[in-house]
Amino acid sequence: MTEPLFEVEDLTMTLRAGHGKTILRSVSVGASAGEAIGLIGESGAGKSTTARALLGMTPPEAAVHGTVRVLGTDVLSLRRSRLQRFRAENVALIAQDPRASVNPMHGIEVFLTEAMRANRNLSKAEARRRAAAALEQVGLDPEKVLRSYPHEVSGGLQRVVIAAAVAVEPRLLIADEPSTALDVASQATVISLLRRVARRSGAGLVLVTHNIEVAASVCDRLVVMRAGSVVETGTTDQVLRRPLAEYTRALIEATRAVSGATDRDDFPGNATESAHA
Amino acid sequence: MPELMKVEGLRKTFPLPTPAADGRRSFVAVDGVSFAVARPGRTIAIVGESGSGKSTVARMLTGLERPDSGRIHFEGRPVEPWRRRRADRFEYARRVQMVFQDPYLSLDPRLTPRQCLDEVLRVHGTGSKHVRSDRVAELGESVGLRPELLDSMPRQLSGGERQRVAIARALAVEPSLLILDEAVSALDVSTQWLVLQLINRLRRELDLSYVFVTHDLGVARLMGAHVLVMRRGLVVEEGPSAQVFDNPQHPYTQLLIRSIPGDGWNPDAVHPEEVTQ
Repeated sequence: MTEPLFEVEDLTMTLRAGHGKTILRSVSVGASAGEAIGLIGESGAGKSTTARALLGMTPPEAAVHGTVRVLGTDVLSLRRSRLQRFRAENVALIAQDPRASVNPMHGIEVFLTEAMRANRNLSKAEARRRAAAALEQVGLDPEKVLRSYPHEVSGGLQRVVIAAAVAVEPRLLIADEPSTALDVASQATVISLLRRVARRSGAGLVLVTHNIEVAASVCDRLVVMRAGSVVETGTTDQVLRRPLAEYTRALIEATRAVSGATDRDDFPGNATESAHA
Repeated sequence: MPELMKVEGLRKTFPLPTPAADGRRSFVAVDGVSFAVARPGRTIAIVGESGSGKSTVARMLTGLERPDSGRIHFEGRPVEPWRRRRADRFEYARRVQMVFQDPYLSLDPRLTPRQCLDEVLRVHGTGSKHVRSDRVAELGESVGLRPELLDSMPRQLSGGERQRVAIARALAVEPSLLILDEAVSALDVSTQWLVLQLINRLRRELDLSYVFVTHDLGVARLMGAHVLVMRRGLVVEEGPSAQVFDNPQHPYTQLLIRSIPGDGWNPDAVHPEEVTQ
């Protein structure tokens, strides 16, 4: 048995305001070191809330029950300063919109090095060297990109965010819909990159996505969520080929129908009649 | 018989707020787009990434943008939907309706679906209050909206329910052509599939034509009998859906198709940098 990377046990969150809506219901998820886990579901499923709980982040207006241990540390009970240090040393988050992660007023070099310098007490030169190495890992030209501003690398900004994440050598990478805001072709690049950096660094990966096929291409295990609850957990192959829950089956069917993977004779795109000019 | 809609050489440039690096002062959003919807019941999908010009085409078809040059014929007659004359706009709007991407923005937050649909019918002079009320119920039913939802406020409706209202509103005047601009892109996977099935059912029942603008290749493949692939204002490839998707000729189309996450999808096989044409 390998060392557990994280264990979420019986996590329940209820909003205090309004009607006391339960946004997470007895969620239990775990992973061992180096594993890639996909949290899948539609909006309101609780997948982002679960992922953020691994960072010790919970909605301020929610009552929280249950435990979240990352590398054996109970992150929900850590004081703010200790939590910050724990996160800086062990966990990195890649969010959906790279423009929200990067300060547009600062150059890429500052973005990549400031966390390392603040949290690891690295010299400017050493931080720069590590930033350059991380940029190389994500296929960007360090000399050029380190001197750029965020708007100058618009197409590759999510790569820069991934570089920032791997530069601090985290044990756990959390990617929350990392490719959803991007164009289709860049989406594939980001997913491919994420898969590569996670495998190379040996870091565990939690990938939050609404697309089960995207998750399947990266993850060892899948967790299907709906309306705050875990519907199904299993190896990627199991969940995809032999889904147990009706909801998982419906989700796979909808995904495949829309992605054009299944033939739908009753739709115009599959009509055999010759098209018009 | 003339084509339902014929579009020739549509072109649109936008002035740039500041000159580009190479000194250009304007941006060519659409650079000569032509296509035709042969007859009622025919469908076209326009697919492209952000900045390809696809939405600008949709907006010109409904008169929300005025092209620099190019012509639109509707049922054999030249039309200029961007003209502001009320009578012309009214007549055209009766025949060509648009459904927008974001159902949260396109509905008046203060009107219930019943009021919203009734308003459209009243403006277009449909019968007495009694006749309109029957028609509203019929419209709600045809888009699969539960009758009690007709009297809720838009904020109480889910994204899918709102988009059903938006479709019902477009159908209220019995148009022969719908322009759908990313009409399912804001919806969850399973809701997306339900709305696509709805649009397809309405197409068959009402012999409705549509131009479906989308960034999603799977959606384009499914919904368009004829598909146009746009990139940087140009149509790089077009043809019957099966031809474009099963035997793509242009490297850009090939790239986009490899980018669709599907069963056994390999994001490593997607190389945007290799497509330069």
